[in-house]
Amino acid sequence: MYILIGRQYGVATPVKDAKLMRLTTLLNESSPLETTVTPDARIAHLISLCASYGYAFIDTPVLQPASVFLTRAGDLIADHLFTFTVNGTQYALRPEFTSPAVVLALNEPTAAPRRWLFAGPVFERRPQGEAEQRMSFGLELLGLPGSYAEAEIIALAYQAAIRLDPDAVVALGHRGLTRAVLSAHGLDARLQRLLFSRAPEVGDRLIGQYLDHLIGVTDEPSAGMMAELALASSAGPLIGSRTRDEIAGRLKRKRETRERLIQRSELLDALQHWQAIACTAGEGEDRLRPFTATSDTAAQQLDAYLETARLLPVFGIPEKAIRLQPGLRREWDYYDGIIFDIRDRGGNALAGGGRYDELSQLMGANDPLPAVGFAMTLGPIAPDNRADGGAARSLAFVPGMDAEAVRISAGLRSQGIRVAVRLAGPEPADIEVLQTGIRASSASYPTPRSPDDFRRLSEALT
Amino acid sequence: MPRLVLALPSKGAIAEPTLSFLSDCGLRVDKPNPRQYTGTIPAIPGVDVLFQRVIDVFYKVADGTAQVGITGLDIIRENETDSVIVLNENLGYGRCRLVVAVPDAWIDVDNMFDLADVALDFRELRSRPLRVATTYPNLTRRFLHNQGIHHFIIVNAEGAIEAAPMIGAADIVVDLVQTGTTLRENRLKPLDDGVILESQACLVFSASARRERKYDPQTVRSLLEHVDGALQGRSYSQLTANVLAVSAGAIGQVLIGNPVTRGLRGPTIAPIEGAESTNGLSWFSVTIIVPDKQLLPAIDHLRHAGGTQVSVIPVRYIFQQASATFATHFALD
Repeated sequence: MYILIGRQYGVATPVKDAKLMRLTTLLNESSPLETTVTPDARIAHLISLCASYGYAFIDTPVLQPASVFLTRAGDLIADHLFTFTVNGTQYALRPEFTSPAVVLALNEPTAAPRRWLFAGPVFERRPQGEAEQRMSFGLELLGLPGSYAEAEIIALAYQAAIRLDPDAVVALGHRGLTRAVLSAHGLDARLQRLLFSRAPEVGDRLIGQYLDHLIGVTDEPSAGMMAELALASSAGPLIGSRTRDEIAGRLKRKRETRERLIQRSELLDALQHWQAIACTAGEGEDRLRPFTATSDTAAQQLDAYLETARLLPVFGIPEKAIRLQPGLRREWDYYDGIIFDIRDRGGNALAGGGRYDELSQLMGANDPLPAVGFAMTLGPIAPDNRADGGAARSLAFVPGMDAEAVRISAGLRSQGIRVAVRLAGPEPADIEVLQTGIRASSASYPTPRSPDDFRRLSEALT
Repeated sequence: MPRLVLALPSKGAIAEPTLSFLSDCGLRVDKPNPRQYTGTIPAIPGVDVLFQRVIDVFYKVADGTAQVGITGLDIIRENETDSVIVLNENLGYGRCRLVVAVPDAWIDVDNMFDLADVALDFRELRSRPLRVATTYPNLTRRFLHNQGIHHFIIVNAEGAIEAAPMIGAADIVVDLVQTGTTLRENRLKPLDDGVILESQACLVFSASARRERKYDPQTVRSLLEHVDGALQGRSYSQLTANVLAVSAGAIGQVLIGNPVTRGLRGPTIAPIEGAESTNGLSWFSVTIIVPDKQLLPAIDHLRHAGGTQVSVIPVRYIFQQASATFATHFALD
């Protein structure tokens, strides 16, 4: 619908004109202003929602040194980065926001917690036919350790996910707890990293494979091996910059690992069970506590895990939408605490994230920076999810009124109304009608002059 | 008529074997001036030979300066691109492997699991990533990531890759290895499960030249017929034997009954003029084509059939209906 302005409405100083003020009121009431700062309609609402929690919209460079992402990436990500080398330095197009967010936080240190919101394109090499540039939306909550921060993030991720599927389910895991439990059962942190970087699930076959590779270190390093080592180091420092002690020390470590893994039925049992656990938050204590019997660290991690799970229903996530899966893993390898995945009915990932306090230290910080966040990745913006920027009122002016068009729309804009100017065609029928005043839809009205006129017109228009 | 430019490696381990290979195909290369980078193939007029470094052979074929070339599979896989069509992935020579090699002083490192562990040690104890010297950064990166090794950087040590650890410029190397002698001399050892790629000489064609038909089809066909024919023929030999038998049919039955003496289609059996017959038996000359791998079993069976004085000549070419390579890639011509 448009409002046609005839010559009768030409004004000299838009702001003060009484008629313009009446027109302003008329327009304002029928078209509430909506702030949108993103071209993507799918996340416009989310930005407003998160802003109400205190999240500020931040951006990071699309182009970053590749090392930012390779610090702790799983092999899938590393292989899918868009990289190129310029003057010997490798750069990458960002596949995500989290790593650059930490870089930004470390460059601008502050004691207070920060809530950052990211929305923009991310890039990943994909099989032919799939979009390589997609929209990503996410939050990072920096500087706040503990369960509350985790629950807030998970709750907002859930709000984002249910817009895509109201029956979305949250799978909640805990990397720190898993690490502690498996450690307590004989798989130390280093070995966990080595094995899990090869396969998403670790079972007898992978451990057996690893064990095969340890064959040959059943005894103390043989005299021959030590002689070889002595010879290699006789001419000075060893090549490859490892010391003799390091090498001998690692041989010892291999031997000890082998001895431990040979008797691994208990470990395999624990691994198999732990990786398969999926229960409700209510069942968590009973199902998981037994695994932490031998380790205080594990017990503490479990307490923290369950505390976060307990807060989620308070944020409004229904109990039946929460599933505890302590052994959950995600593509990115930098999570060290709570970790979660939100999937739709078909099992497709909608959003995911977790706590990654250690990432800052991996990037060179001296102290850990508590950080928890999530990301949601959508396909590229298509015509049907372009944000409309809020409805603008269409004002059509008769030909020859260009200067008045500028002044009148400026006056309306200063009142906070969005105005899109149209110029009416000079068809004879139109012109006759136009000159009678304001025309709304197919009816025409006399030019409003009195408050009553405006009231009648506004009733007709709304 | 546009001349076909064939790019060949000018130096390195692949250079001489390439010239021998072409010679075996009946395409001896004539290089009139040893200092220049050009040559010809007398057997096919219309071909200009261009000698380049192995990597430049690839680049020239990729950008269309040369329409056809011989380079290594390692180069092709490292520089994955649509601008080069691989006509033949295995010309049967120039074999080498791209491997991960570590200092032999690292007696605790036998395999990629060990290397992954050491890489984490570097990260955690030394706060620096493992440095890998190689001229194959793409293949190396993908391989290391697939093996669960993420903390490393590629160091470019032009030329002297295998010397890099010794001079402290890198910790490990990824390099092409043939016999392994150079590795040993530089105090390095390959990891058993560290083989990234098995490489050999390949025949490539420029995709843009193909698309824009910038070549003379007859010249290309001639080249490919020689190569395909020689590759087919190289593992076969022709056997001729004198056999005393009651009839050609009798010999035929015995020979056809055994797969090693069946030949390509069947034995050629002809009576020998002027040879005396004995006890109703006559002398026949038998000719069959036999794979070299089955040479001795074939000879033994021929003897069993009464064959003597078996002569063997190597087959130079076997030409089928048409050059398979030409038919596959240049069918529309």
